[in-house]
This record gives sequence, C-alpha cells and structure tokens, in this order.
Amino acid sequence: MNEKILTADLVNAVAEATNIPKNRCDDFVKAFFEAIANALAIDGIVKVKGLGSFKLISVEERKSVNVQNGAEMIIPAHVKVSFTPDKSLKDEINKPYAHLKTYVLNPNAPLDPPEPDDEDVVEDVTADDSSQSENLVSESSPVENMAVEATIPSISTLEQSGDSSQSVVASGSSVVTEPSVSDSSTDVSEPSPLSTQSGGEAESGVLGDSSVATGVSESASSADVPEFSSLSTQSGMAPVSGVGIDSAVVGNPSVSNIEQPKIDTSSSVNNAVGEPFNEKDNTLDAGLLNNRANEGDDAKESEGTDKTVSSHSDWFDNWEVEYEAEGGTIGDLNKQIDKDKETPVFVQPQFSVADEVAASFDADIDRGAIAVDKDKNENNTDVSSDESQEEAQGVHETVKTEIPENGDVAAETKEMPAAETNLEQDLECGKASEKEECIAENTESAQLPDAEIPESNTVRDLNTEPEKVQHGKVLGVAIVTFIVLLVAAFFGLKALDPDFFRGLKASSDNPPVMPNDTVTTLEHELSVYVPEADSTETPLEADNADGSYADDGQSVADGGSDVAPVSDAVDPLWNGEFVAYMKRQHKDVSLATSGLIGETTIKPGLFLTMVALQNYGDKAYWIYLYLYNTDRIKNPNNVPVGTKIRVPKLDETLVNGPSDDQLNLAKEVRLKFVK
Amino acid sequence: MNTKDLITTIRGQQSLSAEEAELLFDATVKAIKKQLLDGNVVAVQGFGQFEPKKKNERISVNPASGERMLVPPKISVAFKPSSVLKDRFSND
Repeated sequence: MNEKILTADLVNAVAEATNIPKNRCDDFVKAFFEAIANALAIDGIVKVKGLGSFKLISVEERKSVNVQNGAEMIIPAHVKVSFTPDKSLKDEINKPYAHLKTYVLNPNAPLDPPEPDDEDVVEDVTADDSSQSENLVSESSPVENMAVEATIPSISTLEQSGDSSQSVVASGSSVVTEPSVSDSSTDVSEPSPLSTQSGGEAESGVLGDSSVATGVSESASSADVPEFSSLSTQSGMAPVSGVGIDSAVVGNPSVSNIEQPKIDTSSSVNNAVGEPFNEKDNTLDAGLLNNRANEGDDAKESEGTDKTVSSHSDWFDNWEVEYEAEGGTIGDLNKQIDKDKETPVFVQPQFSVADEVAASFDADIDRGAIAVDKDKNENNTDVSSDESQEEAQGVHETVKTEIPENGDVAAETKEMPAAETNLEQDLECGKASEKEECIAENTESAQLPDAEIPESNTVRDLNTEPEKVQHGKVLGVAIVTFIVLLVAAFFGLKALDPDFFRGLKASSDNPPVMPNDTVTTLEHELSVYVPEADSTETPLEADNADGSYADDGQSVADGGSDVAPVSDAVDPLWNGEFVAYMKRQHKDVSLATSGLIGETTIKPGLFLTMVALQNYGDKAYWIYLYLYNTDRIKNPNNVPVGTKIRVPKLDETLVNGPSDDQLNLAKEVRLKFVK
Repeated sequence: MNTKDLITTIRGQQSLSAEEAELLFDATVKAIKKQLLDGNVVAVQGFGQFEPKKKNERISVNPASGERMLVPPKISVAFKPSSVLKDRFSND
C-alpha cells in the first residue's frame, strides 16, 4: 500500500507476466510512455485501452494574487495534461465504494449526519428491546437467584415476606444445583432450628407472627423451589413446623396468592416446588418430606376454605384474619376439609392436582384404613367434582388417622420440635402415609386431642402393620404429591388466565412487546417450568440431574421454541417493526431463519451490500442484513469497521437470488426502513 | 490516437512482432492497473505518476432544484504529469 512503484518495478512485473527478457520489456515500457507523450504532443489526445485517456488542455492566462505578498500576478497560458481513467480501471479501483449511491438529503436535516429520521426511532426501540431481552436472559440464566430476586419486588407487597423470600432465594439457589438434597437431609437428621422454633410457636399458639412464618419458610425453603419464595415456601413450610394448624393457616397465604393477580407466579412456584421436593425425597428420610406432602394437602385444603372465605390482596392480612376467623383451634382443620368438599370453587384450578394427590394417597397407603376413610368421605361428599372429593378424602384420611395416635405423638411433639419427633414417629409408623398421618397427628394431637378420636381404628390398623419402613414408598408419596401440585398449578394457571400463555408466545416472538423485566422473567420461568412439569413425572434421576435451572438459558430457549410453532417461527433477532410490517403486508413471506451462514466482520471496503451479494446473490438484499442486525448496526449507511454482523440463512420467499419478486420486496423493505 | 496506433508506433521503433507487442502492451497496462488497485503510486520517470486517491463523501447541491445530495466517497486515479512532460508541451 502506498508504495511508490517505479519504472523498473513495472518492467519486472511485465517481464514476469510475459516471459520476455527484461531488457526488451524495459525498452517496450519506455517506448510505450514515450509514444504516449509523442502522440499527445501531436494529437493532443491519446486513448489507451485499459488505462484511460490522456488529453492536453490548454489553459488561458489568468490573473491571480500572490498569496504571500498579495501582489497581483498573471498566470501565463499553458497546457495541462488531464488523465481520465478508463471505465474498467475506474470501476475496479472504486470497487470498495461501488455500492454507494448519491443520497438526497432532507432539506431540513442538519448538515452533518445524513441519517434518516425514522431510522433512529427504530434503532432505539430495537436496541432497548434487545438489551431488555438480554437482561432477561442473563437474569434468568445464571442461577435462579437472579430470577428470584427479580420476582421478589413484585411479590414484595407481602412486606415482611421480603426477608423470608430472600432467604428462600438463597436456599433456592442451592436447590437449583442439587444441594437441596443435602440440605433437606440435614434438616431431617438434625432438627433445623427454624422448624423447631416454628413448632414451638405453633404450640404456643402464636401463629400470627410473621417471624414464625418466615422462619418456617426458611427451613422449608431449602426444600422449596427457589422462585416463589414466600408463597409456596410458606405453604410448604408450615407443615414442616409440625403444626397441622400452622400448615393450614400457612396454606392460606398460598391460596390467596393464587387468587391474587400474580397467580402466574404462584402457579409456577408450585411447579418449581414440586421438582425440588422430588430431589429431596430421594435422599431424605421421608419425615420432612412427608410433612411437606401433608402440608401441601393442608395447603390445598386451606385454599379451598380461603377461597370461600374471601379474596385476599395481602396474604398476611388474610392470614391473620383467617386465622382468627377460622379459629385458633385445630379442630378447624376438619372443618376446613369439610369445607373443601363442599366448596365448588376449590375444585376448578386444582382438579388434576387433587386427583393425583388422591391417587398417590391411595396407591401408597392402600390400606383398610383408607377404605374406611373413603367410605366416610364419600358419605360426606356430594362435592361438585370427583377430584375435590378424592382430595378431601386423602386429607381426611391423613387427618383422621393422625388423630388416633394423639397420645404418643402429642408427647413427642411437645418435647421435640417437629423434625426429630417426626423421625421418631416415622419409625413408629410403618409407611409414608403413616408418617404423614403421624405428623398431622402430632400437630393435631397437640392442639386438638379430643377432636376425632373415634377413628382410631384406622390408625391402629396402620400401626399394627410391620415397621418395615419403606422410605421409598414415603418418598414416592411425597414426590407424587408434589407432581400433583405442579400439574395443578399449571392447570390452575391455564384455567385462570388462558391468555397468559398466548401472551407468552407473543412476547417470545416479538421481544419488543415484552412489557417489563419482572413480567418477562416470570414468563421465562413459566416457559421453563411448563415442560418440566411433565418431565417431573418421569424418573427421579431426571430431577436429580436437573440442569434446567442451571442451564436456564437453554431451557428458556427451549420454552420459546415450544411455544412458537416451528413453521411460523420468526427469528427474534429481526427488527420488531420489520416483523410487524411483514406480517401486515407480506404474510406469505416467511421470516424463518435456519441458523446462521456465519458471522462477518466489517472491514474497510467490505459493506453490507458486498456481504449480501456474496451470501444471497444480490446486493439488494443487504437490507435484510441490516434488519437482522439492528442491535449492532446503528446506521446502515455507515457500518463501523469491526462490526460483527450475523448472516442468517433466509427463506426462499424472502431471498431468492435474482428473482424479481424478491428483489422488489427487498427494495420495498429498504424504502420502508431506510431512507 | 488510440491503442492500435500506439502499438504500431512502438513497433515502428522496435522490432517486435504484432503478437509480442500486444502481449507486452497488455502486460504493461495490467501491471499499472494492479499496482493502482493495490493502492500503490506508479511513478514513471519522464512521464508522470498515477496515484489512486480517495475522495471523501461530500454534499453537493443541484443548482437547478436546490436539492442537496450526499455524494458517496470514491476512489479515483489521479495523474500528475512530470515536469519533463509539462515542459515538452509548454515548449510547443
């Protein structure tokens, strides 16, 4: 570059190219220029093919001013040599800028930046969108913590729940990775202080304290799903405390949440909760898990009651109110159960859940006691939906069975906080169902000793059975219950707000549409969890290895792909306005992209048109490169060197070599989006 | 005078076959072009130098309509005659 090539170099090059001796080449080259000069002198014009034309132009004398001293002077007439490069030479040498065309400026526009007005707007929008979406992705991907935190603000209406939710988050992260198992196991082996406290408080009868709830949530949180912090965790936690009453009460908040506008979160929370539980279940000693399972049931029951009671905006308020209203006596549990049976409202969102729960109960327990209970339940239930009945039955079973053992359990509970007592009880109880029952019994017995002793028969049956404690069964029960929870939440979501998923689709298709961070994160999570809800029913190993949280980025992507039909998939990288425009004007044109041809870095002399020409067969298609890279290209007329642009594989309806239709479309799009 | 005349002129001065002359001519032009495309300045002693020059984008105004237009940048070849050449013509 910028070297000075002398005649000798030219001669060398010529000799090399022609295989003619250098001296002869030298002679020729010299003669060549000499001939030109002579011809110029004679004809005044010489045209050399491939090089250009030389021309002599005579300049008349003119007056001028000496710049140095200002003196006037006369420039004498003279002849100057003009050179006009041959067209081929001109074109070749101007190749780097060949695609540029003269551009008519807006008369009102400022002189310097010749940027089209519309373009700025578009770019801003897209930039924001892309940044937003990136943020979202990044937030959700790292571990659930980010997402959890993001959701927290929205949930923060629960005031004090904020603390608990954060703690939940921390625990949640552990859950995500896998540590949850260890945590839960530790809880089991060593009665967690939290649970003990909660138990103590429960015994004391002080349920109204938020601190209790939070403490419970923390302990439970390790087991619970990261995201939904306060709501789901608390519902799950309550049982952990070992106080049946607590669980019921705590359950209320979760119910209220479901009813609240943020149903999405709660539902997703439930889903999430289900998985971690499963993991834990595998390793856990069942005691806590069982408790939780019971809790879950209780929560559901409480939900039913809650719904009937009232709609809650602030669950804390509800909690207290309900607690007071529903009575501090544990005897309410039974009442609540009855209510559940009777309340149609409860049925709808959680049908499937109820069914599954009931099924799980049946399968695991599967004993005479159950049968008895069922009979009883059936007698009682003219409930609207069978599912709710079944649930109710399961609940009843647990409750009733629990009751009989009041004596032992009560003593233990008083002495030891939930965990240990539970373990001991578990040992006593042959099976998981029994354990659950035991837990329930503990709570109930402590506070409602006289509640329903008559059904002790069933309990006895259970007790009489061999102590072959099959943890596997227990775990299975817990797992199933949580799966049920997940499914229920999912369907509840669907039933409550069917448009939510559509909105999700739309948002995934059009990043710009995304309303705000929290909402979008929620959507992402949902999209993640929805598929998982199904997968949770598959072998537990899947849950253990569950990389879904850690690989959130992927899972998010998966969710998106799940949502959007493949055929009409619109690459989110497209400019939003462009997508909207195409959907409006050219529905027959597919914006689907099948991966990237590659990424190209803009270099000096390499322009979008060239890239388009190389990849799409015509430089008119450069507009698509711009619209596909609006997050990287601010001004399509001035793409900075070093800019990396993505070159997507485009559909034939959009780019098809020299086809007139596609070229016209490209031109139209260009006129629309670039002035 | 055009290329053909040039070649015949040169052939008249040197003993070259027509083919050879054409070959050399093409090779010479190509060599110059190649150097210019590479961004090099081709200086021929006693004749002048060819230089590729980048001309920046500019705003031009259509005097008739008053339209202002942004003319894109371009690269062109400038020829600067040597003083020897100039002198030859001015002397004439």
